[in-house]
Parts: sequence; structure tokens; C-alpha cells
Amino acid sequence: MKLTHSTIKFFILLVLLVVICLAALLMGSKSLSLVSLFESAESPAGRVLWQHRMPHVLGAIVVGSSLALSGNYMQVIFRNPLAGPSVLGITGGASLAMAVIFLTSWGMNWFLNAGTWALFIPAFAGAMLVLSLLLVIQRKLPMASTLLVVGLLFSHFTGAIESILQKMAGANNVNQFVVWGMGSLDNLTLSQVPWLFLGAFVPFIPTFYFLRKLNAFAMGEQIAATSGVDVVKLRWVFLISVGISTATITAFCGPIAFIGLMAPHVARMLVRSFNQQQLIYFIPLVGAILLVISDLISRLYALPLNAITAAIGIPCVFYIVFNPKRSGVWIS
Amino acid sequence: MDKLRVENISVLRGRKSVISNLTIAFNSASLVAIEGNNGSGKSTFLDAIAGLISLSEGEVFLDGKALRTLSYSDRASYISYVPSRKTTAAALEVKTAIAVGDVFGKKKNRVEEAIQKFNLNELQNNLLTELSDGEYQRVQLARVWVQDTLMVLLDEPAAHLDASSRENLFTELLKWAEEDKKLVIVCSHELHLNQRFASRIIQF
Repeated sequence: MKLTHSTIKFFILLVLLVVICLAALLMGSKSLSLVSLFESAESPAGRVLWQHRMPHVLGAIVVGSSLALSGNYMQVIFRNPLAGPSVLGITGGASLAMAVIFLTSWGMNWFLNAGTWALFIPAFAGAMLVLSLLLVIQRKLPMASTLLVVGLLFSHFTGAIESILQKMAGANNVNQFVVWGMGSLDNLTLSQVPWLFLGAFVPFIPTFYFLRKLNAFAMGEQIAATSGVDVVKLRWVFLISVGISTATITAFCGPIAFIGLMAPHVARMLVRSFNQQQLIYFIPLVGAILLVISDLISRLYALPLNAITAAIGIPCVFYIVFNPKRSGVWIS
Repeated sequence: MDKLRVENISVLRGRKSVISNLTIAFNSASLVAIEGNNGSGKSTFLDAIAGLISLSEGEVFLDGKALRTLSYSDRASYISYVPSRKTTAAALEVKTAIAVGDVFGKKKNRVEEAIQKFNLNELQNNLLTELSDGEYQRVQLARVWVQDTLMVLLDEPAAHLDASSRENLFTELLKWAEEDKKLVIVCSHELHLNQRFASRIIQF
């Protein structure tokens, strides 16, 4: 990154993230002072900070930045500005697995007998199952856009089965499932954060090597292929990273909407660029900021996280729809 | 040795045969125009040479080497391609789009040169979606100029251009063939321009 306007914008965003994180650590049902950051973890203030707020803030940084990267990659690979990590049906797979756990007596028994990681396993398995199916199918599909349609069909299919399970289940079980579907960082513990980071963010590290080629992909697969990009391999690399990341996030936090769709657009508008090599510094940062803020509001007003992300995200989608050229709507 | 040799190729789209048992060779730097009605298989022919579709029969040879044995990066060192506009518009900015011709990051100076040569200095930070058809086509030419391959394929590059831009386009393509010694193959409905500029016309 050159020492230019972009560098300055990057550092402003970084400072903004730090300030917002501090606010998120200190604000809540019990306000803390800056001094309490240095108190022992055993003191009352320390317990609130380390057991409750720190997992929220660190979790929001990891999840927000990872969702933002997923959304960006999906939008470029599918050349569709409204694509996001949920459109491939991967979240749908996780959601279906959770429906089986919450809404069947067999699943509920298993859940009650299993330990703290109980919810992680089925959600991850469900998401990875859909991802594997997609990867098998994509080898037979010439164009990425067809895969998008297959992903949407997967989502509708899993949604249909969920609705059958909901119809048959008791009110209490349905309630638990619906609450899970609202997305939340409440259940994260500090010891889980490194695992979340490993599953959600680390899969993206290899993709940073392919950003120049991803620019070619944005021009269409024909141009990418004739410019020297192995389009099938590239699609694989990005889909697998997005799949593992989405599966991990959904397993820990439920389906979190709109961050993946919105953050790449906000970053592109801030940087006024679509160059992936430049955007890569900004997209995770914007995603982290948006989710830390959303999570803070959700905690302060005891509202579902997905209601807040939607309240911020929907105006963003309006902007995309009404400014197709400036927000980079692809013509195809 | 022929620069490009197409040997007995057949292409099926579904059950329909689009190209059947076509053999053709191109052996010198020249501007070649391909004419034919819509649906006659012109674009499919370019896709086949570019290695974008699989052949049901036959083989394409680039500089004597079978196309299907070459990696994507090897192919890109022989052939560059400008597809017809409808399939290509993306929201990159002009400069980044031109740099796609340098996907391995080894020709940075050539990207700068291309911006000057194709008169895109003032547009370099605009998005492709903000360009007129003529400006968009200049970006595409700049991109393949950066890629700098022996063969350049263009699918109806003049389709949306006004008369003077069409003339400028063909003048530039002829220069590539004569001065830069490239084999330029262009699918074009501009019959009179094909007559004036192309040294060979192939009917589909």
C-alpha cells in the first residue's frame, strides 16, 4: 500500500475500530471506567470485562472481518453485488442441522447429553456437507452463476425441511431454534475465540496470494481464463475458504446476516476502488467495525443481533440498487 | 510452422453441431476477418481457439503445440481475447482492468505505457460501468496490448461503436498485424471494413 490517501484512510479506520472496541468493552448494563481495563480478572469489574465483554468484542472482530471477506469473494466470483456468504446455501446447511437438533426429540436428547461444543458439531457438519455437494457439482458447471442458482435451491430446500420440522415440534423447541436463528455472540467464551479465529479467518490467508488473479475474475471467466488464470482452481480456493469460514461462524454464532453483503460495498465506497489488492486492507476492517457496533447496540438495547445488522444493512442495499454504476453493479 | 492450426475440429452445443470437421491454418502475421450470420459458429470458433470450450473432435495447435496440453498460463502467453461486450462488463476501475493483462505482475511498466498509448490517462480511475462503449473498447484493447501475445482474438469489437471509432479500431488492429507482427483474428459484421483492412476473410 502506497503512502497515499488510502494509507491515511486505513489508519483512520484502524483508530475508529480501537475506539469502538474500547466503547464496547466499557459500555453495557454496568458501565466500566478505563481503569477497570487494568484490574484483575477476579474483581467484579474484571469478571464483567473478561468473561462477558471481551469474548463479544474479540468475537465480533473475527466474525465481522471474516464475513466481510466471504461476502467480497462471493460478490467477485459470482459477479453479483448482492451475493454474500449465505447465498450458497452453506448457512442453510448449518441451519438445517440445528433444526434437527432443536426440533427433534432425538436431537434434543443428544444435545442435553453432550458438552459445550455440542452445537458446534452439527452446524459445522451441516455447512460442510452443503459445501462438499457444491464442490462436487461445480466441477460439472461451466459458469459460476449457475452455481449461485444451485446454492439458492439448496437454501430453499433446507428451509422447506426446517419448516416441516418446526410444524411437528413443540413450542419450546421452536423458540430455541428461532433464537439461534437470530444470531448472537452471547455464547462465545474467551477460550473459544482462538478456535473461532482458526476456523473463520485463517482459511482466508492462502487467498491473499491470489488477489491479482481475482481482479481478472471480476472481468468475467472468459477474460480471466485467457489472461492465464486457472479459473476452476481459483474458484475452488475461494469457495473452500468461504465455506470453512462460514461453517465455523454459523456453528459458533448462528447465521449472522448482512455484514458479508454490506461491508465490501462500504469498503469500496470508502476507498473508491475495486482493486482487490487494495481493498483487502479495508474490507476486514470495515466488517469488524460494523459487527462490533451492531453487537454493542444489540447488547445495550437487548435486541436480536440480526435485527441490528439488517437495520444497518438494508439502507446499504437500497444504495446499491439506486446507484448501480457507482456501487459497481455488474452488467451481464 | 503454422502459428495457429485448427485440425478437423467439431463442437457440439447440447445435441446441436455448431462446428463440424473444420480444418484451417493461419501462418503469418495478418489481420483476418471472420464473417457470417448470427448463430453460424463464429464466436464458438474463437472460444475453441481460446481453449474456453471442449471440442468433441479434433485438435487446436498453437505454434505446433496442442492447446489442450498447455496450462492456462502457457495459453495466455500465446493468445489474448476480447469477448463480445455482453459477457464482460465488470465494475473494476480502468487501471485495474488494464492490469488484468499482466496477471502475473511482471509488466508493470507496460500497464503505464498502455494508459498513455490508448489515451486513457483521464479515465484511469473511472469504473468500467461508467464508460461509453468506445471508451470501454479502448480499455479492452489496452488490456490485450499489455498481455502482448502472438495472437489476438476479438469477438465483434466494433458492434457498439460509431463510424469513426470503428475505423480507428480497425486501423489499430491493422497496425498490430503489420508493425507488431501479430496474428489478429476478428469476428466482424462490418463487411466494408473487413474488405478494406483484412488481408483474409473467412466465411462461416
